[in-house]
Amino acid sequence: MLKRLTALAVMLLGLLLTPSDAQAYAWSVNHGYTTCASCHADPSGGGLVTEYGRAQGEIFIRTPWEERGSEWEPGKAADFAFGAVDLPEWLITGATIRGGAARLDTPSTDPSVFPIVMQADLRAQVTVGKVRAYGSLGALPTGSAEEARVLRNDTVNLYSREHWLGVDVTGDLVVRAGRMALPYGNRILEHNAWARTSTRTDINADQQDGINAHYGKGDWRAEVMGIAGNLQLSPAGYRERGYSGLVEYSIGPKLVVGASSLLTVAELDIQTLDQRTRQAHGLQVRSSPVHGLAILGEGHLLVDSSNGSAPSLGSTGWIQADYEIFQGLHVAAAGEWLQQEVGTSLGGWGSATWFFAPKTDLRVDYIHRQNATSSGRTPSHMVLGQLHFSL
Amino acid sequence: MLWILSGAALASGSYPGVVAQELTVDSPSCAVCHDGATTFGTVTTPFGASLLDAGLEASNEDSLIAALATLESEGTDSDGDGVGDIDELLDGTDPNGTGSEVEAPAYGCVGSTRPGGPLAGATLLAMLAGVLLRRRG
Repeated sequence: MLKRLTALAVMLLGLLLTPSDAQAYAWSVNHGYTTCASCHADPSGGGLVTEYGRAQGEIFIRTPWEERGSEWEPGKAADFAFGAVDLPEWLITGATIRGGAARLDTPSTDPSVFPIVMQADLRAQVTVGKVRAYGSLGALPTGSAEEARVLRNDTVNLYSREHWLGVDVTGDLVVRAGRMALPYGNRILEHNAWARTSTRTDINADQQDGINAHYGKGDWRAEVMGIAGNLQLSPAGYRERGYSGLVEYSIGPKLVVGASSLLTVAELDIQTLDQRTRQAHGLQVRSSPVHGLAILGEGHLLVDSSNGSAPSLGSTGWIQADYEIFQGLHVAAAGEWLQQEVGTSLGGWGSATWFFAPKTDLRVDYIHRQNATSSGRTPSHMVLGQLHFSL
Repeated sequence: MLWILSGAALASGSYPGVVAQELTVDSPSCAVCHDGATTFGTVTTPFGASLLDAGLEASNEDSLIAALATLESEGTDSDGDGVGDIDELLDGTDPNGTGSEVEAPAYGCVGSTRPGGPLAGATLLAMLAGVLLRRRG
């Protein structure tokens, strides 16, 4: 007993000393998953996966090395900590580590290679009747994922990306209050895509506090959130208030179309230091036109107004084709744009991800961007390699 | 043993924290250096340009620390308002010339994790795990 407890404590300590990740595989539409609630605690996907989601990860995400007959089942590889710990039914938990290294080239800097640690989160959800409590906790070096930081000192951030209380009002309706990812666009893993950063809707650290209602029935899904701001940010004038929401319709088992809308107001915007109203309105699609291929696309109108001035218009978008060569090995190509007052930035991504072992994947990205500035476009190149492991 | 990496050099996302640590101020906003999207290649504000001129490199915290020291020793005043950039950061004003005094944004509660270090969080989680294991037993 003591040995097992010690081993688990060491494991958890290791996780806490490392940054981690969120699973959000929107390409699952290729496998007929048009919604996310069956596999994720968050009904819009990302983060903690349910027991069913764990099993599906073994069944259709990783490369199968073993013979799979008609009686085959995922077994302990799908369980939390590979079955080392039996969890009670009221608790689901998990942890992820994502880290690696990147090489960056820009005109203003010498090429550099640097290690990156992205996440080290431990997540849990406790369910009592119709009430759910969800929380995540992690540790990162100071300066990383600052928006999610709950405690800071000179060396380490303790951060919590998500923490909320929810009520399953009916089988179709979930109401939640707390800090959570904003319902907007496709919940993609590429959190620094411009479609996410310019709308401030990424799943890395852009979560906000507020009240959220998610409704899903039949082919329809809708989610709206009243945003009270990031309560981990002070002074309060920097916090954005407003709403974010989406509605989606599954036209078929492998085609989802949707629309998203967002409006926030801040007395003092974190980037411009002006009173600022941000709006984003757009469309998103997830489809799998042929077996093995997933197309994820979205485009958004950006409306920006500072200090009561006339709004300026911009736009952003992302389109990605993900092809599963064989089960577990994905290659993807993506294009993106960001049109702002300063100019239009363009980017291209090439990625390969291999889910080669239970709860483990290796990913390599090449990202080329032409970044608009007031003096013209400046290019940047990045090669990013990362290893992701979850429990 | 990936967590070994967490103590090593970081991407430029750590720079606000480095500035805060070096100058003992709250983390400055992204806009103090970035013009447009907060991504690589957009460090074009007057203050950002001064840092680059002083040797700032992406993903190199030592270069940022050295550049800040250079600006301080040379009394660089990027917006020409008569107050040096470092003094403006210390005063909580914008070194790019907006002239407004604003309180810098800060995330999370200021506290020390030193006594227990990050171990404090791990201890809490280990206790939780212990409870679970005991329930199972």
